[in-house]
Parts: sequence; structure tokens; C-alpha cells
Amino acid sequence: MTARAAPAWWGNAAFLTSFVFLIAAWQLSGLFLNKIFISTPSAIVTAFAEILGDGTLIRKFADSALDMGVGIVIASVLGIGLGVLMGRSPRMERAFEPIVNFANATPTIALLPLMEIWFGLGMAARVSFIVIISVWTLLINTLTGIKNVRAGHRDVARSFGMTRIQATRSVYVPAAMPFILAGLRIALAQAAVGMILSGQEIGEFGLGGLTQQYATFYQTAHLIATILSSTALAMLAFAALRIYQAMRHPWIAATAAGRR
Amino acid sequence: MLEARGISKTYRSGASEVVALQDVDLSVQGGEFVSLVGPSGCGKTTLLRIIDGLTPASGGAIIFDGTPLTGVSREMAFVFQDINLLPWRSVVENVEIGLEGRGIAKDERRQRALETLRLVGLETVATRPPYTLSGGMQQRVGVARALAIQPKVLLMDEPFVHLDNFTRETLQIELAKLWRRLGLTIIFVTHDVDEAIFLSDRIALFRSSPGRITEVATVGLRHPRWEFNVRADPRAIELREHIIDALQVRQSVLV
Amino acid sequence: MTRADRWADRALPAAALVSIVAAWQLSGLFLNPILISTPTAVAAELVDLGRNGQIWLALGASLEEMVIGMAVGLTVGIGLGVLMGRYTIVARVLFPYVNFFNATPLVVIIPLVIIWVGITTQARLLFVFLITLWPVLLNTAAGIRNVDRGYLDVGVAFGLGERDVLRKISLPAATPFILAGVRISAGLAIIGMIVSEMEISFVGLGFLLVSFGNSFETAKLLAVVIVTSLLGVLNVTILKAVQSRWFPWIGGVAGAGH
Repeated sequence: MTARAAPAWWGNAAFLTSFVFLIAAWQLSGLFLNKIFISTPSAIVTAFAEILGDGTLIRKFADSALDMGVGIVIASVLGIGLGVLMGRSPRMERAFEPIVNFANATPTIALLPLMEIWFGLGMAARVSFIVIISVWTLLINTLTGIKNVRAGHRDVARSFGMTRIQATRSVYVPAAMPFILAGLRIALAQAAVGMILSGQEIGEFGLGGLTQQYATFYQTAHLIATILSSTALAMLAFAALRIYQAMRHPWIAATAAGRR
Repeated sequence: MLEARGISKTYRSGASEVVALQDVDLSVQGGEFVSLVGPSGCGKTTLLRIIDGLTPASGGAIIFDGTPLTGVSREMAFVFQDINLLPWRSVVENVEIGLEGRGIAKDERRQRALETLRLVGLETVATRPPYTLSGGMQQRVGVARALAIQPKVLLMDEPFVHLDNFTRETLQIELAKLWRRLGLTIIFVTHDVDEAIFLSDRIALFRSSPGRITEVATVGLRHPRWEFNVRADPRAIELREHIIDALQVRQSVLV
Repeated sequence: MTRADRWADRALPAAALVSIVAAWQLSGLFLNPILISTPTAVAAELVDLGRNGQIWLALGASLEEMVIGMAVGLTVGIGLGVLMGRYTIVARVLFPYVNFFNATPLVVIIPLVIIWVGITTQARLLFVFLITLWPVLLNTAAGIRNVDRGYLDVGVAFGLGERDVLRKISLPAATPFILAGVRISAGLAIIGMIVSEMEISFVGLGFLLVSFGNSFETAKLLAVVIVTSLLGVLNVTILKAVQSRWFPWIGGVAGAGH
């Protein structure tokens, strides 16, 4: 099937053509459609320049990034920590696995109103919400990673006389790293959802709050500029994770191609 | 020095029982090179793991210098068939593993690991990730990792089976040299009869279902053996024929 | 292993569950019921919501949105995914867009969806469709693209036409990936349903959550949360049953979504 693969530049050219065509069509649509619906690229660029220039966007972006950052750090500490504990203690695993599975199947997004009741309309509620929707993925992926450490690597830890703690630190956790990082990638996407949703629902905060504000006044160009900024924030977080993995855990990519 | 007494091992899966080892006795002298040879599934790897304490025996005891062993032995080091280097650690950090398990301080650990790497000729790749090395070099690291803890006994589980012929023969000679130079005691699992004859003082022959030792053959060729053509030696040829007969390899040929 | 171990297998999770529920119930003696209420109060509210029909009404509206939105999302996703997996040029053109939408935390477009379609069922359907589309699309494309060369060679060597290769080899071989995508999309469908009802609606489970939250009726709120949990568990169970009934050859979890 790869036989009819065109040269790479051809694919890129085709994408660029489609992109230019889409943007042009979008811009022309402004002549016929009410601008409230999808606005136009030029209006969006203008709106973007405006909210960038007056500092609104940077402030809201930073607010949201802080929520998401604090949330994901707390979720990682809790999720990875509990995952390691459960993975290394069969009793803990047996006792809590059904509860964890239930929590993971729960659309924890439904707990948003509860976070408001508990913590009011502030950062505590938003961060707790981010934690509660992203922590389960981290926990389950860490647990899966620890349980799937190769028998050969487990043998090395035992045969060379490592203590339980040494083996956990030097063998089990590093060996589980591919699973943990894959979990972190999903958790970041969940945290981004939590960041936007809590911003929209808990006290009009950050980028999420900004979308509500612009929507209320039908400022569609500003709204789309904000949406694009949210995508950028999420993409930045994913890129940071990729760079971290490439710098600190290069063995994962290097051994991924089937070498055992 | 090292003795396996009446070792047996049964695996239970549901209602059925598989006898992997039945009443196995083996004793190894200090400085001796003993190979365990037999068809796959005969329990020779299981015996090696039981000697190290990696797998618990269903019956019998391992006696080391007069005392029965419990748990994983600190005097013995294991060389794995799959090598099992940890890809997130550099070569030298892999060699340090056993020293960490013994609570040795960081500086000394590094120094001893580097010395051991020098022994197997790999000091120049110490900082590289293990997966960038060839298979033969990786298994040299596996041997260095075991030697670093200065074990009294080296337990080797088909360590060269994944290597190509040339590399395998090179490593056999290197191992023979290390064994003589360091005065090691080695128990070596293999299914390659020539390899066993080239390396060993004695060869324990296994049969399967249930796994047991049927005979312990003495090789009786002079050391060092890399100085002459072992394969062409008449006594070696005779021994080889004898072992192949004893293992009943020919009876199991189907067509 | 031993009898005691097997017993512990069941006893430990039961003990953990019982102690958590008991602690929750006891906390009611000390804490304001607005905070986490108690299991008995939540159970009573659940029965009540069932009796007065409120929960069934909400569940009906929610399921309708979820099932239709997801069905369209999965169909379009698998269709486009096959095209992207099979034709490099389609993949080259569409991938940047797909990547963009997949990276976007899609709740952010809800205000825009409201502007487009208004506070209507169609708006919620559109949102559920948009949120379920991407994982299944990406997984299908990856699955088709990564079909083992050896399997394709079998098809070519035995003279199958292009269409038959796709139908009899590529699609079945890609099924583990596609199902993994379906699992992720199905999880997102529930989330999309709840979120869109929280923000764009006066019906459904999501709306109940918000209104009980706003009136600080925590017991009712938690009763609805439990219903959404059961919906999630049901979702996972159905997908597992589908997999073991129609695709028994797929072992365990294959092809992570991201």
C-alpha cells in the first residue's frame, strides 16, 4: 500500500494548498455570512493582536497555565505515588483495584458542582477539579506499568540482592516509565479540559472564562482567538512532555522498535 | 563447596502437576567448571535458578560451604540468557547494580564497576546506553555485572545462545581465560555439547519428564583448551558421541 | 494459590469498600451534610429521583444525545481513518487538521457551538460528535497504516484485489487499534454529553448536576453522579462484551490511543 506513496514534499504542498484555500474561502465567506457565526481570518488576527497588545491574553493564558500546572503536579504526585504503592503491594492492589476501576469509569467531570460546594469559586476548586479528572489515568497507567515490568528485569533486582525500596526506585519505576509517560500525556489532555471547563464554570477564570465573556457579547473573532490560544497552551504542554521524554528518557524511543 | 541435595520442583496448574525436577543431587568443588546439558524443558535452568534462590525448590536443600541457603544468595551471581540490561542505565551503571544491592558507597561502586569493565575489555563504552552495543558486547556487560560483586560462584544460563557463531566462540575463550585468571567456580547451563566440552571440567547430563540428572561425565582434557583444537581431539570426539547417545538425541528424531 | 489467599482476594476489596462507606456514613455525624452528605441520604434521594421520574427523563435525554452523537462520530471517524490510513495523500492533507482538533481541549468551543446552533439538542449532538470523532479517527488511521507487511503480502500473493485486501486483511488486522479508539471515544461521549448538558441545556443528567449543585442539594447531586458512574461502567462492560463476543482473538489492551 505504501507503493503509491508520493514524495514527501508533494504531501506538504497538498496540505498547504488546502490550508490556503480554506483560509481564503473563510475570508470570502465574510462577504455573505453574518460575521457572528464564524467571523473571518483577518478579523481574528486583528482581535488576536488587540488582546495580545492590551495584555489580556497573556494574563489569562498565564492564569490558566498556572491552574493546569499546579493541578497536573498534584495529580502526578498522587497518581504515580499511589500507583507505585499498589503495584508493589499485592494487598493494596487487591483492596483498592475495584474502587480505582470504578472511579476511572466514572465521568469525574460530573464532580464539578461538588468541587464548587467544597471549595467555593476560587483556585482551590479549579485545581481540585483538574486533579480529580486527571489523577485516575496516572494511577492506572503507573499500576499497569509496574505490573508489566519484564520478568528478566525483576530477576535482576532479586538476583543482585536489591532491597524492596532499591528495586522500586532503580528497577520498577524506571521500567514503568513508558506507561507513566503515556498516562501523563492523556492526563495532560484531561487537565486541559479541566482547566477550560473550571474556568468557564467556576468564576469565569482564565481562558475558559474569557470564552464565556466573549460569547456573551457575540465577539466571535475574539472568541476564536481565545480558542486557538487554548489549543496552543495544550500543545505547549504536550511538546514539553515530549522534550522531557527525549532528554531524560531517551531509551524509551531507542528501544521501542521491538527490542526486548 | 556447593551442593544441591535432593532438589525437586513441581509446578501446579489447576488440577494437573508438572514435575520439573525430581530428586536432583549435584556437588561442585571450588574452582570447578560444571556444565548442565540437556534438551529444552529438562529443568536445567530451573535448577540454576533454585541454586541462586530465584526460584524456591519444592523439596531438598542447597548447601553452600556447609550451610543451607535461604533466599537469594549473596555469594553467587547470575548471568541471564536474555542478559536483561536495564536500558535506562548506562553500561557502567548496569554493572553497579549488584554493588548497590550491597550498600557500597557511590565512588567505590563506580571504581569497582570500571575495573570490572576493564576485565572484559569494555572500559571505553562505560558511559554508553546498553542498547547501542552489539549482542556480544551486551553479554560481556552481563558477565561484568556478575563479576563486579566478586562472587564465589558464577551461575550462567545459556549466556551465549543468542549470539552468532564467531562471537560465541570468542566469548567462550574469553570466559575460559577469566575463569582461570580469577579462580572462579562456574555452573553453566547450555544445550550445546561442544560448548560444554570446550569449557567444562565435568558435565551433568539431564533428561526430561521428569527432569533429572542421569550422569555426570568428566571431560578430562587439559587446560588451557584454546591452545589446541578441542573438536579434533579423539577423546573429545568420543565424549561427544557418548553424551549424544546418553541424551538419546537420535531416538527422538521423528523422520 | 492457597484457600486463604483466595479468600483474601474477595475479602480485601469488600473490607476496603465497607470501611470507606462506613467512614462516609459516620462523617455525617460531624460534617455539614452539604459537604458530602451520607450514603443513606444519597440512596434515599436516588430512590426518590427514580420514583418521581426525574432521573428517567434526564437519562432518556442524555442517552439519546450520547448514542446518536457517538454513532455519527464513530462512523465518520472510522471512514475517514480508513481513507487516511490507506491513501498517504489524504493523510498528508488531513493530519495537521486532525492533530489540531485532537490537541484542542474541545470544551473550549462550546460557547461557539451555542452561537452557531443555539441552546438546542442539535448543539449537544454536534458537541458529542466533535468530541468522539478524533480518537477513533486517529486510531483507525494508525491501525490501517501499521498493518503487518507480511499480512498484506499474503493478500497480494494469493491474488486478492485491492478492495478485498482492505476488507479481508487490513480492516481485521487493524481491529485492535480501532477498538482501542472506540473505547476512548466512548468514554469521551459520556463526558461530552455531561459537559454539553451542563453548559447548553435545561435537560439531561448534566443539567441535573448543575442545578442540584447550584441549590446545594448535595445528596441529590451525588445520586446523579452515581448514575453517571453506572453509565460509565455500563459503557466499559458493553465494549468488553462486544470485544469478547465478536473479536475474541484480540488479547488484552492493544494500541494505546495517543
